[in-house]
Amino acid sequence: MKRRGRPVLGAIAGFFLGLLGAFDLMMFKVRPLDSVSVIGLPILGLVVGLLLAFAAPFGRRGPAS
Amino acid sequence: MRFRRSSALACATGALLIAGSGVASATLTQNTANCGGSAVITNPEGAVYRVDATMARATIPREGVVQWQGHANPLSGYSGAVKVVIGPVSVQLGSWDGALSKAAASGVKEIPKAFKSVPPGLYRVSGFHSGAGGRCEGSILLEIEGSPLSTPVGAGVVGATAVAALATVGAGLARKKVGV
Repeated sequence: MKRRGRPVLGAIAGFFLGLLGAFDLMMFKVRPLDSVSVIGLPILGLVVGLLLAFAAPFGRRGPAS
Repeated sequence: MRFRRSSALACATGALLIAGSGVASATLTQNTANCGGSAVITNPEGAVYRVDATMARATIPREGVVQWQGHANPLSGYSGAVKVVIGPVSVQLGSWDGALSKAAASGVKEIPKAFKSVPPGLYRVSGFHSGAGGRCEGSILLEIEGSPLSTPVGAGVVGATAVAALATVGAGLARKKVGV
């Protein structure tokens, strides 16, 4: 039996994590809201969310018998 | 193993994005009209903030009184604008135009009350002033003082980020896929 996470949730949540992260970086005075952060971070978040969902590294209990 | 390698690549890309923000560009990228200016802002507690056209980054309060002065070569058929950069678009904050610009101007102005609801943070503000005989153009990183949690918008964004982070981790929770 194969295990995996939730790719759709991962993509959507990762995208918004990246977008909101860009706003957080602006508010915490790390970098302004430029094209790189507003476009790049959501794409990066989407990719990370998908990777997490496909790898599903959390909540594993070892191989099924 | 493949996941670890991909994650390391994603983290490295993120670190590069953040490190790239440290590159401070010159404030005036073009100045054939001999433009210059400065402002002294005093907040209600009496703290003084200075902003000059030669600065690449400046800190300003969210309320207070601004004493400003500026100068440029008199230009005929002049126009100008100030914009704040938000992602791939720029939002215009103000503009001006006329037949012949003055060589110097100064004034005192209170920061509008509405500015208090703007979330603190780092904003890139750009602008230009041009006419027959010259043009000046530049940008500055303006750091609006205060905690991100001091405005409803700021607190909402921080809270929403936490929810999005939890949901992303939740997407990585293993579940059984029956029949494969």
